[in-house]
Amino acid sequence: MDLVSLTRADAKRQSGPTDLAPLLGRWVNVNPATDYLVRVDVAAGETAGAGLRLRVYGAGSDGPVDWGEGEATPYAAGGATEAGGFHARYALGPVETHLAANQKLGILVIQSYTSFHDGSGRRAHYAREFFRRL
Amino acid sequence: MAAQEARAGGGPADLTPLLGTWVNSHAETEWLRRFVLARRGDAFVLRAEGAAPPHDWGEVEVAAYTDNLGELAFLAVYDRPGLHSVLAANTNKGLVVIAAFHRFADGRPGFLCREFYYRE
Repeated sequence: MDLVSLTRADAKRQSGPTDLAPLLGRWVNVNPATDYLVRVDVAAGETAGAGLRLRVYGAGSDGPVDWGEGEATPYAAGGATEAGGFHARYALGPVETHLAANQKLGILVIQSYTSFHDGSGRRAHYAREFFRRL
Repeated sequence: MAAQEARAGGGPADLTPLLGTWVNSHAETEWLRRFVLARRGDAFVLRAEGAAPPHDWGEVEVAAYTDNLGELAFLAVYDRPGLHSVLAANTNKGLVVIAAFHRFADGRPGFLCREFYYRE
């Protein structure tokens, strides 16, 4: 079979499971005064190869806002067998958020990209924040 | 998400300051060598150049964002046969930083890489 390849790196590892352990657990924002994400719970999917299940809590005026459970796709860092990060997309009504995360030295770095599709004119915003395991 | 939504309005961020060609700081990269950010009408588009053939990834529209300090960010998605790539970018002190998430349709493990680009 011809494999799609757009970079030399594409050929590094062609099979084998990705170890999700580096991403699993409860992650809390190291900045308790955040305006963005307070906490993210990361669990393995129910079947092998099913990816990740996320539960995200946003910073609300009256306490954390539960975004509910979503799915995320894990990614290895380069040719490693361990997961180095994930990508997830939440579409909560007119609010769309992409979460692009990578884990390094015990810290989960989450970049959030949020846009609004309700005609409100609210500014699409971005944040890069740091989470430690609880 | 309430606190985020309370931020000032203004719609999509304006990526005009980022228009032009950006080069990977790592000359031996195995990922993206460079990219061009351009305007097409009211939209902003990205054309990425890979390290291996086919070098030209084509042009996709990007979504624009800004952080609480006014730093710009953008998100681009390439959906090519067999390969889905999310490019999550932010700017910092004159650099564009791209976290690239690549997922294959043929079962190969997906991978990510975060690299740095300076203006050509």
